[in-house]
Amino acid sequence: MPELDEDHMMAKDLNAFDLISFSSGFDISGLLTHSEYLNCVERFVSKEKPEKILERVKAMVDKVERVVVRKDEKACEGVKLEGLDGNFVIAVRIYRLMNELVVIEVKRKEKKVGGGQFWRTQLRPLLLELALLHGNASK
Amino acid sequence: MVQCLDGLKHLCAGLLNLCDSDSAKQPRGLENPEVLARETVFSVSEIEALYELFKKISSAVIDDGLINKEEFQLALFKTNKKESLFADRVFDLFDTKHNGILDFDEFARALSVFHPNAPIDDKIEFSFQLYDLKQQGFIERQEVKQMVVATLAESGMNLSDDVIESIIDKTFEEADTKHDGKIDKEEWRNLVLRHPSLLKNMTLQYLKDITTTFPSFVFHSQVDDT
Repeated sequence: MPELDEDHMMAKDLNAFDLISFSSGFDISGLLTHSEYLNCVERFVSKEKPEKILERVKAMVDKVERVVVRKDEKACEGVKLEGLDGNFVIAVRIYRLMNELVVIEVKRKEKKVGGGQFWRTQLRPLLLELALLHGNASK
Repeated sequence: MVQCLDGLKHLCAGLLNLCDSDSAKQPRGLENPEVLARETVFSVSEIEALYELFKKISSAVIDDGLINKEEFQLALFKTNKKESLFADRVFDLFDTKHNGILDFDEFARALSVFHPNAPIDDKIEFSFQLYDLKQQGFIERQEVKQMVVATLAESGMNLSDDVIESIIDKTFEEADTKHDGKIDKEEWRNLVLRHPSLLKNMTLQYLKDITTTFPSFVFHSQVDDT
Protein backbone atom coordinates (compact mmCIF):
# COMPACT_ATOMS: atom_id res chain seq x y z
CA MET A 1 0.00 0.00 0.00
CA PRO A 2 1.67 3.25 -1.03
CA GLU A 3 2.12 5.76 1.74
CA LEU A 4 0.06 8.87 1.56
CA ASP A 5 2.63 11.58 1.98
CA GLU A 6 0.90 14.82 1.10
CA ASP A 7 3.28 16.86 3.17
CA HIS A 8 6.22 16.14 0.94
CA MET A 9 6.12 18.90 -1.59
CA MET A 10 7.94 17.96 -4.72
CA ALA A 11 9.26 20.72 -6.86
CA LYS A 12 6.83 20.02 -9.69
CA ASP A 13 4.40 22.22 -11.54
CA LEU A 14 0.83 22.49 -10.34
CA ASN A 15 -1.75 20.71 -12.47
CA ALA A 16 -5.43 21.48 -12.94
CA PHE A 17 -6.50 19.34 -9.99
CA ASP A 18 -3.98 21.07 -7.73
CA LEU A 19 -5.67 24.34 -8.66
CA ILE A 20 -9.11 22.91 -8.01
CA SER A 21 -8.03 21.64 -4.60
CA PHE A 22 -7.29 25.25 -3.68
CA SER A 23 -10.99 25.96 -3.57
CA SER A 24 -12.13 26.75 -0.08
CA GLY A 25 -15.26 24.72 -0.74
CA PHE A 26 -13.15 21.59 -0.92
CA ASP A 27 -11.37 22.36 2.29
CA ILE A 28 -13.64 21.15 5.05
CA SER A 29 -11.15 21.76 7.82
CA GLY A 30 -13.31 24.78 8.67
CA LEU A 31 -15.64 22.34 10.38
CA LEU A 32 -13.07 21.71 13.08
CA THR A 33 -11.40 25.05 13.64
CA HIS A 34 -11.03 26.53 17.07
CA SER A 35 -13.20 29.58 17.59
CA GLU A 36 -10.49 31.77 19.09
CA TYR A 37 -8.39 31.70 15.95
CA LEU A 38 -9.17 32.38 12.36
CA ASN A 39 -7.69 30.16 9.68
CA CYS A 40 -7.48 31.81 6.29
CA VAL A 41 -5.89 31.14 2.96
CA GLU A 42 -5.26 33.57 0.16
CA ARG A 43 -3.48 32.99 -3.11
CA PHE A 44 -1.95 35.24 -5.71
CA VAL A 45 -0.53 34.65 -9.15
CA SER A 46 2.80 36.28 -9.84
CA LYS A 47 5.39 36.51 -12.55
CA GLU A 48 8.18 37.19 -10.11
CA LYS A 49 10.80 34.57 -9.30
CA PRO A 50 10.20 32.67 -6.06
CA GLU A 51 13.59 33.72 -4.64
CA LYS A 52 12.81 37.35 -5.26
CA ILE A 53 9.39 37.10 -3.63
CA LEU A 54 10.78 35.48 -0.51
CA GLU A 55 13.65 37.99 -0.37
CA ARG A 56 11.19 40.87 -0.46
CA VAL A 57 9.13 39.26 2.30
CA LYS A 58 12.18 38.73 4.50
CA ALA A 59 13.41 42.26 3.88
CA MET A 60 10.04 43.66 4.92
CA VAL A 61 9.88 41.54 8.07
CA ASP A 62 13.39 42.71 9.04
CA LYS A 63 11.98 46.16 9.45
CA VAL A 64 9.01 45.08 11.54
CA GLU A 65 9.34 44.54 15.26
CA ARG A 66 8.05 41.43 17.01
CA VAL A 67 7.86 39.33 13.84
CA VAL A 68 10.36 36.65 12.83
CA VAL A 69 10.94 34.55 9.73
CA ARG A 70 11.58 30.83 9.90
CA LYS A 71 12.13 28.16 7.27
CA ASP A 72 8.99 26.27 6.33
CA GLU A 73 9.87 22.58 6.37
CA LYS A 74 6.76 21.58 4.53
CA ALA A 75 7.45 23.51 1.37
CA CYS A 76 10.18 23.53 -1.23
CA GLU A 77 9.99 27.28 -1.38
CA GLY A 78 8.39 28.89 1.61
CA VAL A 79 8.80 30.66 4.89
CA LYS A 80 6.91 30.92 8.13
CA LEU A 81 6.28 34.26 9.76
CA GLU A 82 5.56 34.29 13.47
CA GLY A 83 4.26 37.11 15.55
CA LEU A 84 6.30 36.99 18.76
CA ASP A 85 3.26 38.07 20.73
CA GLY A 86 1.53 34.86 19.73
CA ASN A 87 -1.04 36.63 17.57
CA PHE A 88 -0.39 34.87 14.31
CA VAL A 89 1.51 32.34 12.32
CA ILE A 90 1.67 32.83 8.56
CA ALA A 91 3.03 30.35 6.05
CA VAL A 92 4.02 31.80 2.69
CA ARG A 93 4.60 29.13 0.05
CA ILE A 94 5.43 29.43 -3.62
CA TYR A 95 4.29 26.88 -6.17
CA ARG A 96 5.31 26.85 -9.79
CA LEU A 97 2.47 26.94 -12.29
CA MET A 98 3.80 27.13 -15.80
CA ASN A 99 6.04 29.28 -17.95
CA GLU A 100 7.19 31.82 -15.45
CA LEU A 101 4.01 31.91 -13.45
CA VAL A 102 3.92 31.03 -9.80
CA VAL A 103 1.20 30.85 -7.19
CA ILE A 104 1.93 32.51 -3.86
CA GLU A 105 -0.08 30.76 -1.16
CA VAL A 106 -0.54 32.41 2.22
CA LYS A 107 -2.04 30.39 5.06
CA ARG A 108 -2.74 32.33 8.22
CA LYS A 109 -3.72 31.32 11.68
CA GLU A 110 -4.43 34.50 13.58
CA LYS A 111 -6.19 35.50 16.77
CA LYS A 112 -9.60 36.87 15.94
CA VAL A 113 -8.88 39.95 18.04
CA GLY A 114 -5.78 41.79 16.94
CA GLY A 115 -4.14 39.00 14.98
CA GLY A 116 -4.72 40.36 11.52
CA GLN A 117 -2.96 43.66 11.60
CA PHE A 118 0.42 42.54 10.28
CA TRP A 119 -1.25 40.78 7.37
CA ARG A 120 -3.50 43.69 6.49
CA THR A 121 -1.03 46.52 6.82
CA GLN A 122 2.27 44.92 5.80
CA LEU A 123 2.25 41.54 4.13
CA ARG A 124 -0.84 41.74 1.96
CA PRO A 125 0.06 45.11 0.38
CA LEU A 126 3.52 43.76 -0.41
CA LEU A 127 2.12 40.66 -2.09
CA LEU A 128 -0.36 42.69 -4.07
CA GLU A 129 2.61 44.64 -5.42
CA LEU A 130 4.23 41.41 -6.54
CA ALA A 131 1.05 39.84 -7.90
CA LEU A 132 -0.07 39.65 -11.48
CA LEU A 133 -3.23 41.67 -11.44
CA HIS A 134 -4.42 40.98 -14.94
CA GLY A 135 -4.95 37.67 -16.61
CA ASN A 136 -2.66 38.45 -19.51
CA ALA A 137 0.48 36.45 -18.95
CA SER A 138 2.22 38.04 -21.94
CA LYS A 139 5.56 36.43 -22.59
CA MET B 1 -48.06 -27.92 24.99
CA VAL B 2 -49.71 -25.17 22.94
CA GLN B 3 -50.46 -23.25 26.12
CA CYS B 4 -46.73 -23.34 27.06
CA LEU B 5 -45.78 -21.94 23.69
CA ASP B 6 -48.38 -19.18 24.04
CA GLY B 7 -47.03 -18.38 27.46
CA LEU B 8 -43.52 -18.15 26.04
CA LYS B 9 -44.76 -15.87 23.28
CA HIS B 10 -46.33 -13.51 25.82
CA LEU B 11 -43.16 -13.56 27.90
CA CYS B 12 -41.03 -12.66 24.89
CA ALA B 13 -43.41 -9.93 23.79
CA GLY B 14 -43.33 -8.55 27.29
CA LEU B 15 -39.54 -8.48 27.32
CA LEU B 16 -39.41 -6.78 23.95
CA ASN B 17 -41.75 -4.10 25.19
CA LEU B 18 -39.48 -3.49 28.15
CA CYS B 19 -36.51 -3.08 25.81
CA ASP B 20 -38.41 -0.62 23.62
CA SER B 21 -39.40 1.61 26.49
CA ASP B 22 -35.81 1.61 27.77
CA SER B 23 -34.49 2.93 24.46
CA ALA B 24 -37.13 5.61 24.49
CA LYS B 25 -35.64 6.91 27.74
CA GLN B 26 -32.06 7.14 26.35
CA PRO B 27 -30.57 10.60 25.80
CA ARG B 28 -31.97 12.19 22.67
CA GLY B 29 -29.91 11.60 19.55
CA LEU B 30 -26.87 9.45 20.10
CA GLU B 31 -27.99 5.87 20.38
CA ASN B 32 -25.48 3.09 19.81
CA PRO B 33 -22.17 4.88 19.28
CA GLU B 34 -20.76 1.35 19.14
CA VAL B 35 -22.46 0.68 15.82
CA LEU B 36 -20.97 3.77 14.22
CA ALA B 37 -17.61 3.02 15.80
CA ARG B 38 -17.67 -0.44 14.24
CA GLU B 39 -18.58 0.84 10.80
CA THR B 40 -16.23 3.83 10.66
CA VAL B 41 -12.58 4.38 11.60
CA PHE B 42 -13.64 6.27 14.71
CA SER B 43 -13.48 4.87 18.23
CA VAL B 44 -16.49 5.12 20.53
CA SER B 45 -15.07 8.16 22.34
CA GLU B 46 -14.28 9.80 19.01
CA ILE B 47 -17.87 9.21 17.90
CA GLU B 48 -19.08 10.84 21.10
CA ALA B 49 -16.78 13.82 20.55
CA LEU B 50 -17.95 14.05 16.94
CA TYR B 51 -21.49 14.14 18.25
CA GLU B 52 -20.64 17.20 20.34
CA LEU B 53 -19.40 18.90 17.17
CA PHE B 54 -22.52 17.78 15.32
CA LYS B 55 -24.79 19.24 18.00
CA LYS B 56 -22.96 22.55 17.80
CA ILE B 57 -23.23 22.77 14.02
CA SER B 58 -26.79 21.48 13.74
CA SER B 59 -28.20 23.95 16.25
CA ALA B 60 -26.72 27.06 14.63
CA VAL B 61 -29.81 28.07 12.64
CA ILE B 62 -32.58 25.60 13.48
CA ASP B 63 -32.19 23.50 16.59
CA ASP B 64 -33.58 20.30 15.19
CA GLY B 65 -30.67 17.89 15.51
CA LEU B 66 -30.01 18.02 11.78
CA ILE B 67 -27.60 19.99 9.59
CA ASN B 68 -29.19 21.82 6.69
CA LYS B 69 -27.19 23.39 3.88
CA GLU B 70 -27.09 26.81 5.51
CA GLU B 71 -25.72 25.41 8.76
CA PHE B 72 -23.14 23.45 6.77
CA GLN B 73 -21.98 26.60 4.98
CA LEU B 74 -21.85 28.46 8.29
CA ALA B 75 -19.69 25.77 9.83
CA LEU B 76 -17.34 25.68 6.84
CA PHE B 77 -16.97 29.33 6.05
CA LYS B 78 -18.16 30.97 9.28
CA THR B 79 -20.62 32.90 7.12
CA ASN B 80 -23.78 31.88 5.33
CA LYS B 81 -23.20 34.45 2.63
CA LYS B 82 -20.60 32.44 0.81
CA GLU B 83 -21.77 30.00 -1.76
CA SER B 84 -19.48 27.58 -3.40
CA LEU B 85 -19.95 25.10 -6.19
CA PHE B 86 -17.77 22.72 -4.27
CA ALA B 87 -19.35 23.09 -0.85
CA ASP B 88 -22.63 22.14 -2.52
CA ARG B 89 -20.97 19.09 -4.02
CA VAL B 90 -19.45 18.10 -0.68
CA PHE B 91 -22.83 18.49 1.03
CA ASP B 92 -24.47 16.31 -1.60
CA LEU B 93 -21.88 13.60 -1.08
CA PHE B 94 -22.41 13.69 2.68
CA ASP B 95 -26.19 13.50 2.10
CA THR B 96 -26.34 9.82 1.19
CA LYS B 97 -30.07 9.67 1.95
CA HIS B 98 -30.65 12.51 -0.55
CA ASN B 99 -33.13 14.40 1.57
CA GLY B 100 -31.35 17.75 1.75
CA ILE B 101 -30.31 17.42 5.39
CA LEU B 102 -27.54 15.64 7.27
CA ASP B 103 -28.24 13.49 10.28
CA PHE B 104 -25.48 12.36 12.60
CA ASP B 105 -25.15 9.02 10.88
CA GLU B 106 -24.42 10.63 7.50
CA PHE B 107 -22.14 13.20 9.17
CA ALA B 108 -20.01 10.62 10.98
CA ARG B 109 -19.76 8.23 8.05
CA ALA B 110 -18.68 10.98 5.66
CA LEU B 111 -16.13 12.44 8.07
CA SER B 112 -14.71 8.97 8.60
CA VAL B 113 -13.36 9.15 5.04
CA PHE B 114 -11.35 12.24 6.03
CA HIS B 115 -9.70 10.60 9.01
CA PRO B 116 -5.93 10.08 8.59
CA ASN B 117 -6.45 6.34 9.13
CA ALA B 118 -9.21 5.92 6.55
CA PRO B 119 -8.36 3.61 3.65
CA ILE B 120 -6.86 5.51 0.74
CA ASP B 121 -9.31 3.80 -1.60
CA ASP B 122 -12.19 5.52 0.21
CA LYS B 123 -10.47 8.86 -0.23
CA ILE B 124 -9.84 8.17 -3.90
CA GLU B 125 -13.49 7.19 -4.40
CA PHE B 126 -14.84 10.24 -2.56
CA SER B 127 -12.62 12.69 -4.43
CA PHE B 128 -13.52 11.14 -7.77
CA GLN B 129 -17.21 11.55 -7.04
CA LEU B 130 -16.57 15.10 -5.91
CA TYR B 131 -15.05 16.06 -9.24
CA ASP B 132 -17.50 14.07 -11.32
CA LEU B 133 -19.94 16.99 -11.35
CA LYS B 134 -22.51 15.41 -13.63
CA GLN B 135 -22.10 12.03 -11.96
CA GLN B 136 -21.50 10.22 -15.20
CA GLY B 137 -18.78 7.94 -13.90
CA PHE B 138 -16.03 9.93 -15.57
CA ILE B 139 -14.56 13.43 -15.38
CA GLU B 140 -14.83 15.36 -18.62
CA ARG B 141 -12.47 18.05 -19.78
CA GLN B 142 -15.34 20.53 -19.70
CA GLU B 143 -16.04 19.71 -16.03
CA VAL B 144 -12.36 20.24 -15.18
CA LYS B 145 -12.40 23.60 -16.89
CA GLN B 146 -15.58 24.58 -15.07
CA MET B 147 -14.02 23.74 -11.74
CA VAL B 148 -10.73 25.50 -12.48
CA VAL B 149 -12.55 28.65 -13.57
CA ALA B 150 -14.81 28.56 -10.49
CA THR B 151 -11.83 28.11 -8.19
CA LEU B 152 -9.91 30.97 -9.74
CA ALA B 153 -12.93 33.25 -9.54
CA GLU B 154 -13.43 32.37 -5.86
CA SER B 155 -9.85 33.12 -4.96
CA GLY B 156 -9.23 36.21 -7.02
CA MET B 157 -6.32 34.55 -8.81
CA ASN B 158 -6.02 35.80 -12.37
CA LEU B 159 -5.05 33.60 -15.25
CA SER B 160 -5.77 34.10 -18.91
CA ASP B 161 -7.87 31.58 -20.80
CA ASP B 162 -4.78 30.49 -22.77
CA VAL B 163 -2.92 29.64 -19.62
CA ILE B 164 -5.91 27.77 -18.21
CA GLU B 165 -6.26 25.75 -21.41
CA SER B 166 -2.54 24.89 -21.36
CA ILE B 167 -2.70 23.71 -17.79
CA ILE B 168 -5.69 21.51 -18.53
CA ASP B 169 -4.01 20.15 -21.66
CA LYS B 170 -0.96 19.18 -19.64
CA THR B 171 -3.09 17.57 -16.97
CA PHE B 172 -5.08 15.52 -19.45
CA GLU B 173 -1.93 14.48 -21.27
CA GLU B 174 -0.73 12.94 -18.07
CA ALA B 175 -4.00 11.64 -16.68
CA ASP B 176 -5.97 10.51 -19.74
CA THR B 177 -3.92 7.45 -20.59
CA LYS B 178 -6.75 5.97 -22.66
CA HIS B 179 -6.92 9.15 -24.75
CA ASP B 180 -10.70 9.40 -24.82
CA GLY B 181 -11.03 12.95 -23.51
CA LYS B 182 -12.21 11.86 -20.09
CA ILE B 183 -10.73 10.66 -16.86
CA ASP B 184 -12.30 7.49 -15.52
CA LYS B 185 -11.93 6.01 -12.06
CA GLU B 186 -8.91 3.93 -12.94
CA GLU B 187 -7.09 6.87 -14.54
CA TRP B 188 -7.95 9.03 -11.53
CA ARG B 189 -6.58 6.41 -9.19
CA ASN B 190 -3.32 6.19 -11.13
CA LEU B 191 -2.96 9.96 -11.22
CA VAL B 192 -3.52 10.30 -7.50
CA LEU B 193 -1.12 7.52 -6.61
CA ARG B 194 1.53 9.35 -8.61
CA HIS B 195 0.60 12.70 -7.06
CA PRO B 196 -0.53 12.07 -3.47
CA SER B 197 -0.77 15.81 -2.81
CA LEU B 198 -3.94 15.79 -4.90
CA LEU B 199 -5.67 14.08 -1.99
CA LYS B 200 -4.51 16.50 0.68
CA ASN B 201 -8.01 17.90 1.13
CA MET B 202 -9.24 14.39 1.82
CA THR B 203 -7.49 14.20 5.18
CA LEU B 204 -8.22 16.28 8.25
CA GLN B 205 -5.36 15.74 10.69
CA TYR B 206 -7.46 17.37 13.42
CA LEU B 207 -9.83 14.41 13.38
CA LYS B 208 -7.15 12.49 15.27
CA ASP B 209 -7.40 15.04 18.08
CA ILE B 210 -11.16 15.32 18.12
CA THR B 211 -11.51 13.97 21.63
CA THR B 212 -9.38 16.79 23.01
CA THR B 213 -11.13 19.46 20.97
CA PHE B 214 -14.60 18.31 21.89
CA PRO B 215 -14.56 16.55 25.21
CA SER B 216 -17.86 14.98 26.02
CA PHE B 217 -17.65 14.76 29.82
CA VAL B 218 -21.38 15.05 30.25
CA PHE B 219 -22.18 12.17 27.96
CA HIS B 220 -19.53 9.96 29.51
CA SER B 221 -21.03 10.37 32.97
CA GLN B 222 -24.44 9.42 31.64
CA VAL B 223 -23.07 6.24 30.14
CA ASP B 224 -21.23 5.41 33.37
CA ASP B 225 -24.40 5.78 35.42
CA THR B 226 -26.33 3.11 33.54
